[in-house]
Amino acid sequence: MITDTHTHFVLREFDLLEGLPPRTASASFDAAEKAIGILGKYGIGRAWACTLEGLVDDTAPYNRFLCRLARRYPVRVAPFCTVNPHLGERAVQEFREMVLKRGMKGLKLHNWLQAVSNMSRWVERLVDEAGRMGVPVLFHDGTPPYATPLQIARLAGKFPHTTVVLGHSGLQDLYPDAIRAAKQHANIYLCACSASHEGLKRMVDRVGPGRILFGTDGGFGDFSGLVELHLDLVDSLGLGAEDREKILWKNAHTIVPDPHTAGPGEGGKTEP
Amino acid sequence: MSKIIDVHCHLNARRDVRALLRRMDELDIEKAAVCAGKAAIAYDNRRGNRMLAGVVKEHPDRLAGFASATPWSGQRGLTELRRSLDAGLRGFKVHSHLQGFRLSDEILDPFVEICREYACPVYCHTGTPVTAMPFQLACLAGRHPEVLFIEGHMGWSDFWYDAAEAARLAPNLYLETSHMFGGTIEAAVRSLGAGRILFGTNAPVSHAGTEVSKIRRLQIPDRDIRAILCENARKLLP
Repeated sequence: MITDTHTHFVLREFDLLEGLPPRTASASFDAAEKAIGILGKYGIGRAWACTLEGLVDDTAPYNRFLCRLARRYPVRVAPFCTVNPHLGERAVQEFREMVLKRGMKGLKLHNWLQAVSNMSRWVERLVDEAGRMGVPVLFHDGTPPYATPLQIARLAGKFPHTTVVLGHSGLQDLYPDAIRAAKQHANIYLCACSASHEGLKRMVDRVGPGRILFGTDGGFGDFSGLVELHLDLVDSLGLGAEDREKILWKNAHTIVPDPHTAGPGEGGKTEP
Repeated sequence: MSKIIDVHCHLNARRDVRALLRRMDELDIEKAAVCAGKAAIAYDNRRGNRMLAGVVKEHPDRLAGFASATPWSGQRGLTELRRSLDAGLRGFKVHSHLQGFRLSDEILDPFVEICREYACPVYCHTGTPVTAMPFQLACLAGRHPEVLFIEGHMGWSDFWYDAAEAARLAPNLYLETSHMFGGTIEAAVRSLGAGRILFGTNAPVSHAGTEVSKIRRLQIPDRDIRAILCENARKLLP
């Protein structure tokens, strides 16, 4: 099944320029279920689900929301937590709890929105801890001053036991650095989310289809439009079936196994 | 369905023109504004401008060439721009990131003054900090109200919030859609009106077919899609 490795599931749809909507006592799954429905319509059966509000607000309520969503949709939703590295040890403990007790599948860091340098000792602790727990770190990248590919590559080099995903592969201006980073460090994967046709083609040529992931940034804007745009982007490469499958889902499943193949305890049969 | 006008794509070498025309035919693109490749924009302006002048002479109904002249070349660059426009090129392409200056700098003013004289549009790459940002372009456009400026890529990647707001400061500033997400283009239509938005592919960096599909899928009235894909640009490149 196609896996979208870069999505944001929100409690309620909102515009960042308008501010966060007030939190309600009981979170609704409506917006997330609408997103899951859209993904399904395009054949995307699984999503690495990150928060959006939690990148600029307290993280805990949004991490809990994603956990509840994943319990309802254990196949379609692979929940990624986020934490605020500025909180130091508390952030590390929250991350550990989210993975070890709540079963979250990875960590999302957005250094630009979270206003934290990748030189932070607490970012380093989190990346190290991710590797120790066997989960990946999905970074926003492509944006100076805090989220450039080579800054993140330094972390990947320092913690080679951790799988590091460049969530935008450098965006428009820095994709050549994303390619350099991936060639230097075997633990770096490149997400095709927001890549240009030319940029993605070079990634496939120079890094190989075995380390490229499909992603849409859905939730950071209109879900349908983003999904269609990124499926078109992959199609525009004219790849053979094997390479296309690697990018659309096989690579993702080597990082976060599909529960169908992950053994008992997780499965899609209970999904409504 | 109306034809399409692409206000921004690149031709890296003369030998690529056949492929460009074939792609245009496949996508129903009637006319395209072409710039040279990166090296020719950054420093080897004369080579790129001559190549474009030769190509547009052969295909005057399909292609309009945009000249480049790095402002660091001073009087030599001014002469090159004037010569290129005399040779049939129809616009001026500025890539301040590649060319190494802030888009708001006065160093570009004498070049823009030539564009005013020739009534030709100025296309500016935007989206790359710290040299090519939308509000820098608004500053430049504000100094030259008689010249039409195009905000290339609408500030893609990270300046999407700035794109339309910058254009609101300068009525002579138009947005070009390549790379930008559909939702941001829809928001710009609501904010500025479809009349200020131009379709561009930035092919071959972006995929032309994907860019066309993206616009056709926008959740806006059909008349606005027609304006973006063709009618606005027809006034620009008659």
